[in-house]
Amino acid sequence: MKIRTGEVDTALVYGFGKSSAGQLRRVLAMQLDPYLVGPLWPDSVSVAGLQARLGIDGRLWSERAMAEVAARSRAADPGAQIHELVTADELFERPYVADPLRAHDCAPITDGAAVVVLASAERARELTPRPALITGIEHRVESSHLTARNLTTSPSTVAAAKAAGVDGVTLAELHAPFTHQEILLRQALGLGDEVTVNPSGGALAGNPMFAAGLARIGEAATRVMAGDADRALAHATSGPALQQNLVCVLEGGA
Amino acid sequence: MAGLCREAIDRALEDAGLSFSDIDAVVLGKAPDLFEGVMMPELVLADAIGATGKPLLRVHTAGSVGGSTANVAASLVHGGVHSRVLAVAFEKQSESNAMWALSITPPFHMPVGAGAGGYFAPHVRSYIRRSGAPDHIGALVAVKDRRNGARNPYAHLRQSDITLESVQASAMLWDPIRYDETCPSSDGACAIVLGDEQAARGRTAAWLHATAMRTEPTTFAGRDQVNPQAGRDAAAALWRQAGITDPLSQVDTAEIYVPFSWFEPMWLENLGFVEEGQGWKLTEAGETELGGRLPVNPSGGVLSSNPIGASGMLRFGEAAMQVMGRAGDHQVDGARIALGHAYGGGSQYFSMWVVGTEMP
Repeated sequence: MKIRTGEVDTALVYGFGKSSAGQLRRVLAMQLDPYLVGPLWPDSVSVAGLQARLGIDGRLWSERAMAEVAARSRAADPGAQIHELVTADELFERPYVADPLRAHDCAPITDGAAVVVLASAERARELTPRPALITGIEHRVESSHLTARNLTTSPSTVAAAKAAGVDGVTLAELHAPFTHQEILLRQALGLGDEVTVNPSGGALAGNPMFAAGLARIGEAATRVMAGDADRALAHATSGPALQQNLVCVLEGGA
Repeated sequence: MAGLCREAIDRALEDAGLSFSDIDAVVLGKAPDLFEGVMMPELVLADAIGATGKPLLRVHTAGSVGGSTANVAASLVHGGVHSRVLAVAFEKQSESNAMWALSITPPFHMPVGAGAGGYFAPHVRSYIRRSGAPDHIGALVAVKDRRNGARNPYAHLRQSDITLESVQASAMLWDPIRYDETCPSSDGACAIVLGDEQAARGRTAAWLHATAMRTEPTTFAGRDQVNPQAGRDAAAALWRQAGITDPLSQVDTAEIYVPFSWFEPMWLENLGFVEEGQGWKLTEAGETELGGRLPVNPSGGVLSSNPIGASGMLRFGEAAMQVMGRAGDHQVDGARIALGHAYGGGSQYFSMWVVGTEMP
């Protein structure tokens, strides 16, 4: 915003989370209505489990497809918090933590940070030969009432994507802390097989709170700047079962 | 909490002659989630504050957040992203324990303070020593602000009977800060509708002449917490942007974040109204009373109402009401330029704005 008003040319954006210091599942349960829902202590994994179950029963995704997302994410980055070479079949045999979610279906507890340096387009071109230009950045929020939403779609992601203009992206970093959510977001955004999703491994490989969304933008930007993609999408989410969503579109600029 | 926000929002929309459908985005401000124990309250409040289906931001700068929230909302309009933005800030301290929440020790810190007053009392002592101010200055501010609060139907504490003697007889909490020189723990919300020139056409508006925010770290040993650099820098940037070279003469009234009485003279200096060490003289001479040279906190200020998350926005909103001529019984006659100021954390977050009757 400050760059857009012309008040500044560069800005440093950072986010960090040290979830190991607390009980993340319990803390996130406190995002829900404190009078009527919170007292039931619906922790974040259980809420996601409800969403996963709805999609499985609705034949939108399966536990095996979820395991495939997990296998791919775990193999992606040797430097990530989670790195494991394992097949989807092997993962499928592992026990549930919150039926239908298995441990590999859930992002890990991560301590971490992300930093992005922003600049006006003009300044960016002075600083680097191929900046990643933000051509659209939009976000929307949905109702806090879980029962008022269709939890197997993501209208706020779709609305943000439409406003940001995602046509032609070949790479997408989706902030999906649960395997079924990556499938859900792919479907909602209409991303075909030609789009590479989460080459970084995504949040499933490392999920620092208040930084994971920014990390998606950073990961997408890095690949655009490296020339791996001309047009990429980065997504960030907040709240139970994808309540609030942001879509950022990046283009390689010369 | 939803009802609290909605009361303020409904009134703001009615005042602006708008409905939710006219609002492009919502910005919510609140002090630490720890207070009410609702994590990321913007999520659970999305429906109540009219944000569902729209962009929603939450701002988080501790006690100054009400001000920062208004500044962020203003940036969205200033940057051409949205035409009309609803800014709302609240705190429901009756469902919280602010004293406890402000006393917890962050990791690697020694537990040295009890509540906000415990943190600030040494700074107040330092100010008194540095400036040579007489002991009764703090009590003068308390009397003024509580009596002003009595003219404000929205104030939490409305004490028209308060006297210098009664303040000085009240219990000492954190020497030299007494009970009656301390802000209350309040429930409250404030909402402001910000719009672009188009949105303001044909209606009375308070025009933004300048906004500023600056920050400094909590525990850097080189800080001056009595007269913080960040506050001075923010004020300098603010006056420059507003084209104000002599704030004491050119500003008609100021809503300044004074949660403990002595912060009035301290912030008058930090903001550049007077030279360092001279703030208490302005207070002692009665110049910060209604009718004085620079009425400070005609609304009763934070000393009369302190729903922490909202307090900064209340200052900004009251400043706007003054230049719109809508401050009722606490209206400063002929106010055309007003300052709204907020600070937070360990005197480290500063946000402020200048509003005027005319477009700049």
